[in-house]
Amino acid sequence: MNEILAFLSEPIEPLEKISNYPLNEDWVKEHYAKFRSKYSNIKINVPVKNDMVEDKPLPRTGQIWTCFQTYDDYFGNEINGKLPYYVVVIDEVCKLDDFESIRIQPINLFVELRAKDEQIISNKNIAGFEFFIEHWNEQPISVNLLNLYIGSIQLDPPVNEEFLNLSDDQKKFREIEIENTSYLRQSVISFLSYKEIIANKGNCPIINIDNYINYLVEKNDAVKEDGQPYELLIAAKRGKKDLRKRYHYSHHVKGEKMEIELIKDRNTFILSIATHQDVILKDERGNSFNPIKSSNNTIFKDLDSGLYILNSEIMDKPIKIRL
Amino acid sequence: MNNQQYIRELAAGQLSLKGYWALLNLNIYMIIKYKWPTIIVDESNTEDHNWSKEDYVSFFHQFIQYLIENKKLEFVNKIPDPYVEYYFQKIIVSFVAKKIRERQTKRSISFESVQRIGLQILYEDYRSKEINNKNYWYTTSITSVAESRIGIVEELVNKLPGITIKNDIKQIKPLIRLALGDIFSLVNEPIDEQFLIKTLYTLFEKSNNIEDIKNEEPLDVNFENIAKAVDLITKKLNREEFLLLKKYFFSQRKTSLQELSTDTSIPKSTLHKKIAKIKLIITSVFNPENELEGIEFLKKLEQKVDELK
Repeated sequence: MNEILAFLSEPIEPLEKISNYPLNEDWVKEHYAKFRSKYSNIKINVPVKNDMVEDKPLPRTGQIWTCFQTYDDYFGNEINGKLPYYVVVIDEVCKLDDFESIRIQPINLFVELRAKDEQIISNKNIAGFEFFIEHWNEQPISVNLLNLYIGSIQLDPPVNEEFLNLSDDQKKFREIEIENTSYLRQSVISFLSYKEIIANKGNCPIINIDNYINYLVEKNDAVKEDGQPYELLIAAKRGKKDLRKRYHYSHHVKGEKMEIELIKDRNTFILSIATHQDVILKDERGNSFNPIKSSNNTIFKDLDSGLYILNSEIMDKPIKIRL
Repeated sequence: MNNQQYIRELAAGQLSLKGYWALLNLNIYMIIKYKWPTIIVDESNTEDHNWSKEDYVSFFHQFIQYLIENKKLEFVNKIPDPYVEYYFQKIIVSFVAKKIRERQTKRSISFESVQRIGLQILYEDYRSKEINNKNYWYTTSITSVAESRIGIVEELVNKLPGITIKNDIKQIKPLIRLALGDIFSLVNEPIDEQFLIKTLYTLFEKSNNIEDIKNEEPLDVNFENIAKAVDLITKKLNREEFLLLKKYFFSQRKTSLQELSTDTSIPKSTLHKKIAKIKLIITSVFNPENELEGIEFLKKLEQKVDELK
């Protein structure tokens, strides 16, 4: 079992470069010919009806989903899972503010490491392989992590952990799995951390560049060099005081300055970017927004709370904005 | 093309040369990354050696054979693209783990070795006496031997758990010494040499089975059966037998019959019979399915004895 544990501890990660072992082409051809003579035309798959659907159904108890292995957490940090996971939904969606979470249990293909009382789902027609449910690894995740709907199963009552005698390998396996799936629950942990931070700092937008977080400060609080409050200077220019909250962030992309201004207009935001570059704004589901362009400014209006990804051709890393 | 497409080619019986090369390369990469031993290629290998190109290709073809025989790619079309390669890697790892497990469970010890080392330890640690042309081994004094008790001794010894020979064990002698200690602590009377060696070997034979079970699934303990058995034993034993059970079986140190006789003022011969009766009651009520269940049973019995004391 050490081989399985070693694999799970250090899996081949998505970006890992699988180096090519030096093999002579003729030598490979010779062995390929032997392979063909023995296994040619041995078809081992069967035609199957695929339940996967393009439109996502509403998540419900008993459904099996695949999860995104890479995603942005609530702060916009890029989170990468070591392994891809299938999960089974075990509760209904729970909504808090604009955030939807759901309780899941990961499923596992290494049935060799299940505890004695853990049921194998042996019907390969469901997921394509046999598996068991890690009922001991239940956790909440963001609904946005659910990627592809695979199918549904009838959930069995949970196993009574009290009388399970786990081998050392099984204990180690559970430790590794709890660690490996931490990237899934990070989606909820980041939301709770965000809530905790804004409870202390007050509600403020976040700008995240390459997993470095900036909490934006209201521009009204900023003081100009001559000692005059910024908001009064604007009020003097316009003839009236603008009570809307304003946030400002300066960024340099390859030597070019990019001024980002955010204005909270009632329940929505206006995003204004002073740059010569063409910028693209998308929400976390990948929906694009049409900008209004004026001289050097690109303006996006009516933005709801959420995570937005700002990109341009010259940017190496996108700017992620949590409103 | 990506590996997932080559895996689908393989499942469809249409693996191209490029796909063959890519999947062979993936196998080699995993062998190197996880430092798998060459025994997974050829079970007759007694020692691990460096992998050759032929070893790599042989392992790959064996793996393909395993995939086909076990229909591991039968429903691969149900698996979405990003997961196909992970699933394929998972099967490779399971295949390797299975091969290594099979190899490990084959590791055992010969009867001749047990006999040679066992006799060596007996001469070092135990006393012997020849009675009726048979050599008997014992720990305490001996005057006579009741032949009729061999069956009972055999029954008791059969309840001992097997001794596992783990792969990292370098010396077998301490394990044989431990096994002899287990036998004599349970029987506590002279044992015929021939029977003793045979019994000793049985403990090591058992161990292979136990290792195998451990790898397949954990040893299970039926706590309900244990509780019932402890209750039943409680009803069958009288107060005096309880006291003996506590002093003889659950004492912090090994208690001899002589000491117990002095302590309880019960003649040694009577004590012998009473102890044998207690053992019979216990073994007639409960037979553990495995080592863990035996340990749990003894813990619960000791707790009960403490409560009733």
